[in-house]
Amino acid sequence: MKPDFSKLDYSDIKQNLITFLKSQDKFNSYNFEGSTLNILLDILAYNTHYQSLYNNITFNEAFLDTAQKRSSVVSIAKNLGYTPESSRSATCAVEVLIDANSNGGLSSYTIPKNTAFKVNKDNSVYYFYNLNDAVYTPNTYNETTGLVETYTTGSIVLKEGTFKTVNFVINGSNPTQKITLRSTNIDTNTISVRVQNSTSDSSGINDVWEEAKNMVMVDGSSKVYFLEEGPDENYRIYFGDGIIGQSLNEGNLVIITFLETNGEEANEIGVNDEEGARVFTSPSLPNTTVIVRTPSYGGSSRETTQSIKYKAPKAFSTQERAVTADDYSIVLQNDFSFIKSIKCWGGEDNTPPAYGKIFISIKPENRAALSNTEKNAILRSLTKNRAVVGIIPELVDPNLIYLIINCDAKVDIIKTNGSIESLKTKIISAINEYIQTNLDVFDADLIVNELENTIKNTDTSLLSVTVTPQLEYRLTPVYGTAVDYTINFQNEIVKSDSIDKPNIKSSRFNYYDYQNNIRLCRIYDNGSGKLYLAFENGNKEYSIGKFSNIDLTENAPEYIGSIDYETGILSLTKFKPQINEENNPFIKFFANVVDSDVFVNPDTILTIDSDDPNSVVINFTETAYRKPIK
Amino acid sequence: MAKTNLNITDISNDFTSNPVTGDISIKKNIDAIKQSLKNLMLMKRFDKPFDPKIDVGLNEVLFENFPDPILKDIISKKIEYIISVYEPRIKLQKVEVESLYEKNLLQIDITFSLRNQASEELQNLQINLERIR
Repeated sequence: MKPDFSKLDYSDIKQNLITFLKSQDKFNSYNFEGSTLNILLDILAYNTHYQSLYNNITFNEAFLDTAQKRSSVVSIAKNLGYTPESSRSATCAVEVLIDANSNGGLSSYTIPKNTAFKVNKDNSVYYFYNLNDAVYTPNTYNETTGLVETYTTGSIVLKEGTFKTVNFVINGSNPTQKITLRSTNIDTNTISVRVQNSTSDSSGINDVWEEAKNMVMVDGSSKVYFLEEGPDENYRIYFGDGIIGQSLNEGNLVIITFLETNGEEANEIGVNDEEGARVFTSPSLPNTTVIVRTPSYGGSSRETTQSIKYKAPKAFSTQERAVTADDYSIVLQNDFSFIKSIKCWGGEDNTPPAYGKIFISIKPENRAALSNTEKNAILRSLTKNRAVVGIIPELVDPNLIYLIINCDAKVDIIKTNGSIESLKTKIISAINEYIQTNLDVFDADLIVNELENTIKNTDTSLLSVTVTPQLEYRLTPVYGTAVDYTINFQNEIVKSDSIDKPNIKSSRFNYYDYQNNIRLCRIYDNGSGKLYLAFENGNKEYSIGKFSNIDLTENAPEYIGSIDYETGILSLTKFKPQINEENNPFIKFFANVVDSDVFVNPDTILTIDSDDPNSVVINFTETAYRKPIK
Repeated sequence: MAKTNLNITDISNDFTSNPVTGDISIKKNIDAIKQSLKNLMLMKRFDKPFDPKIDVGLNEVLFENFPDPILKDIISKKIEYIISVYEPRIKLQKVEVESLYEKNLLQIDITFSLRNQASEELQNLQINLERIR
């Protein structure tokens, strides 16, 4: 008898044993469920099944691809030198102003580090702390006396969270002991480690101990600590052995402070900060005004298991060095959790080429572009001995094309119970969610069929759905200066046979007409590859081409550029708009595209402005659909 | 189908050894069948791995209300079902469940004959459920 070891199900194992017993004739009751021999086979088969399942799980957990438990994934990642990213505190920048004469004048010119700043958001209280001392400098002077009237700290960085402290006395009998920081929401970037000689001797307390991330510079006298995530999901700190990192002695007191953060809940604090309605106060700094310079950003939850599985091998391949374009992506994604999508390319691939540069385009979560503070933080992170010498990183805002979704839906009016408005809300929500989930990143295209299916599945009353996307490009011109611009929709634009049916249309803006009067106007295409200005007068729009039906020439005062319908490229010539009517920094250009599926270049992101009420247009066709009675 | 002589062998539930050979003791023929039946009668749901349908669990009846006519009927039906599915070697004749109040005893009589055997003699297995202390 030849057992089949490939079958590991309980029933197969038991059948194997029965087949084995068939080869003997001493016992023959093995095949009946009540027989004692059969019960014995149950035990044997169950034991074998249990063992095989256990082995299967054990081996699955031993490899990064198949591991399911976070502790297993973290353990394997540790072998790759990867420490999972912790929660991150939201960061904001504020300026503290104080009147020189208030409350008897300044008592100190320094705001000590770890001073609390209090703020309310959605009925919750959050605390932010400055992790470094801030110094007051004179801000304004009394013109008569020449004395200082107000002092300012300038822009200082605050981190959100609650300060925690862990004290630990080293036990000499266990030199490799690890100190567990029992907090699941710790921000490891805020960890500060100090070591004093003993509980009664504070010598050494001012020494700076840093996290060891690069072993090249670490020797037996380096004051470094090592950080890792333990199997209980808490972070642990341990020290060197005297060869790699300075070792500690029995009785040393380790004092560890860190911030326990609320993650993304504390983002976007300070957006509504304005004079007369300041959001921050500081209980320990009376009579001060705290002005938000950059609203809070970058707060995030701890890294997920899936993310560790994805990033650990990539981090291993970069070795904390940014050399290739992909290295830059990985290093920055590891450092900044607010990055939703990132694209990096060398200067040689840029248009126009810029040798010696690396271009980095980042789409942050829930926003179109990075703030200047975020850009500076990213550039600083790259210069920490990680980028190749002589290569200059340059951050460029992502090229965004916005989608306008026109949705024609046929509805069974009986199934909706007459509630078309709630159905409309559900559809808009489904469209926004689909785009936020599937698009809104680099290298993602709109496949209309998928979107239509998603919309149709939102409600059983929807009988059919047809989506016709329109593209929107937001041009931020230099107002008052004549500049050539290129707008690339990257998709074929519909070409009409009549000037009365334009397929390119802009939002309204001010422009000098040929009589040198500022008037509101829009840009249209004429169906023959030319773009023209149509000025408004009495709520009507006029242009030479449209009004008098004269063929538009490049010398005509309304001519403003050309359009290549096949490539979707618009070229605006000497475009000199004045500040536009809606006081927006940008002018919107709308294009009707030939193909409903929208494909874009790798450096472009398709997205939707969910705050724009015109971004989704839904037309319902109501019908009372019923199956015929058989 | 030609009827054969009885030739059934199973190991004994008590796992005692044969005093002469030292080998495990063996139950044969009608004794092996009765042992198998008794095993089935005492088997509870999930005793058999991955087969929860085997569920007579007579010993669990000890905790039910004793003079319960519905209970007697349920027990009979369960026994009939289990034997028909899991003990194809016998042909069930009848199941009698009797409550002996004065002895606090539930007496179950299973009468059966063997299938495909030369002898069609009726056999009886009696299982008594009573409190032991």
